[in-house]
Amino acid sequence: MLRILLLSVFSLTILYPLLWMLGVSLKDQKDMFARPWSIVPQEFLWTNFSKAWTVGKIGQSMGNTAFVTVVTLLFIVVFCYLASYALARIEFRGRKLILTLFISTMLLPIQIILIPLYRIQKSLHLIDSLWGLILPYIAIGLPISIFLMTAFLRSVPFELEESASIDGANRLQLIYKIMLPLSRPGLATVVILQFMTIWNEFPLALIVINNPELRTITLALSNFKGLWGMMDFNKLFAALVITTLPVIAMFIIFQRQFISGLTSGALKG
Amino acid sequence: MTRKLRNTWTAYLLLFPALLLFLVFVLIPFAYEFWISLHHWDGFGEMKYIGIDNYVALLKDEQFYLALKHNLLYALGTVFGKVVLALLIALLLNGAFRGVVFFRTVFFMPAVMSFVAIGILWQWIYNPSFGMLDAILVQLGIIKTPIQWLGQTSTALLSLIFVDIWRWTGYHMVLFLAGIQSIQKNLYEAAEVDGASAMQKLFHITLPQLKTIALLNIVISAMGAFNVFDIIYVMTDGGPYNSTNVLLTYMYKQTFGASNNVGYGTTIAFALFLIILAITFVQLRVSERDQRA
Repeated sequence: MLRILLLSVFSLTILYPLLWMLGVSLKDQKDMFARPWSIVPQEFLWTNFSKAWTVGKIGQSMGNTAFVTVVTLLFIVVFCYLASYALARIEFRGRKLILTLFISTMLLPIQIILIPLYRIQKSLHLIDSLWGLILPYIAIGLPISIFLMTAFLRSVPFELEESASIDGANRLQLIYKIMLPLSRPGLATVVILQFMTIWNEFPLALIVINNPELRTITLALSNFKGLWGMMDFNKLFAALVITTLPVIAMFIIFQRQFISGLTSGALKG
Repeated sequence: MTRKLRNTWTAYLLLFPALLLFLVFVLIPFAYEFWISLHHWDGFGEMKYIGIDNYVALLKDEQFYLALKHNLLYALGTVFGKVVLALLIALLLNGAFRGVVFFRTVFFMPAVMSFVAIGILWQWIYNPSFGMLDAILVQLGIIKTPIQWLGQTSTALLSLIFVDIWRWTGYHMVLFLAGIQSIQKNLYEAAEVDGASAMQKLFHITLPQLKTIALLNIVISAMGAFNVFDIIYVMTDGGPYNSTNVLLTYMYKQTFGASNNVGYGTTIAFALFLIILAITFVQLRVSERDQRA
């Protein structure tokens, strides 16, 4: 009983701020000033949402973020699977070196190489383009993905490939028909882990994207805050709720995968 | 062609896209970063080679030490807060009872949100006139007048540390839960036969068995503390009076701010790189040990 009580108190410290966020997004300033602690608005101002959506161009920034995330994930899945297949299932010269290279860089944060990355992107004319986010996101997401995926592929029995190859399957068929269907759980882990990182990424987007049309969600939010956060924070909060809901909803639906994705990234990393 | 050689070609063909991108957007930037750090450069004009002058300047730079100190304090606060709280909650949450999935979901929820969203939310929670924190504290009679949590040097960094703990505790809790669930049941059975109490089981079996995972949690959160950027950029931007300036915000200001000192900025980044590298090394050793165990 004490356990439930303690847990309830702890969860209240999480839930209260989140519900407060929802409450503020539906209030007006007067209500806000009169009862700052309250969660339930006196009057539900749904127009905050529609206004935030149009004024803040939330739809556009959500679209940009979704585009960047989906394209990056597609490439990561393909590139990571191919590379991990080579590293896990083929004996070749330089294998150890390449694996070491990936493992030793997988925990380095993007922020550390922000400056040279910016210079390189400038010379490749990738500044102010969504590809300027996608390409580095793929590259930086690959080491840890490959690390996880290589470990996963190693655990698949080698006899499977051997018997298929005796039956006349070539390498391409082994990669595509035999191993790929078996790799789904591993790839799902990679996707969840990278989804979180890309969807929420901020520092690189901050320096690469200047064009308001190309803003991602995190950029749009931080921009709102500066522009009209002070006077119109109810709409700012509506924007906050709109952009946070998809991730929270996804998390609640795919809970198990989210948690195992994030933890295996840490445990094996 | 021998089979082995053919294999090598196949392998490199499969690795090619990954290696190419990795080379262009990870390896070359690292080398380039070190190269720039040996120059005086504003990012536009000529690069002037100055050897290790930037590093010498860095070692004499008070702002650098101040930022480093803030990173260390941040690490101290967040590591301690997150690990202790996460362990406590994980112990409470272990076992099957009604609501276990609900609690786990709630605790983990902040971990999926972006630090930008969380930063904005908490900036308003801390707001002395509209925020709920001061309102509640005043209502409960704990304080008389609202506190400027982010607006004064004495509380700003602490307030940021608290938000970090709020976000990540659930994540560390899940790691602890995984650790608790991997402890062999027969240890407890043997202890029960010997008549051990719940407390004895906790202190003599559970906690000692969690040592590796605790170390891992410490290393992960320490790494996060040195990488901290988003939340500070959004909530205080290093202020007030640089009281929350950390290495990355300092680097950002030097490079992309008014001073445009790109060469110096890379030097700060490189110093941070060395710190992260050291922590990474510990992390790899810990997880190696974890896998053997």
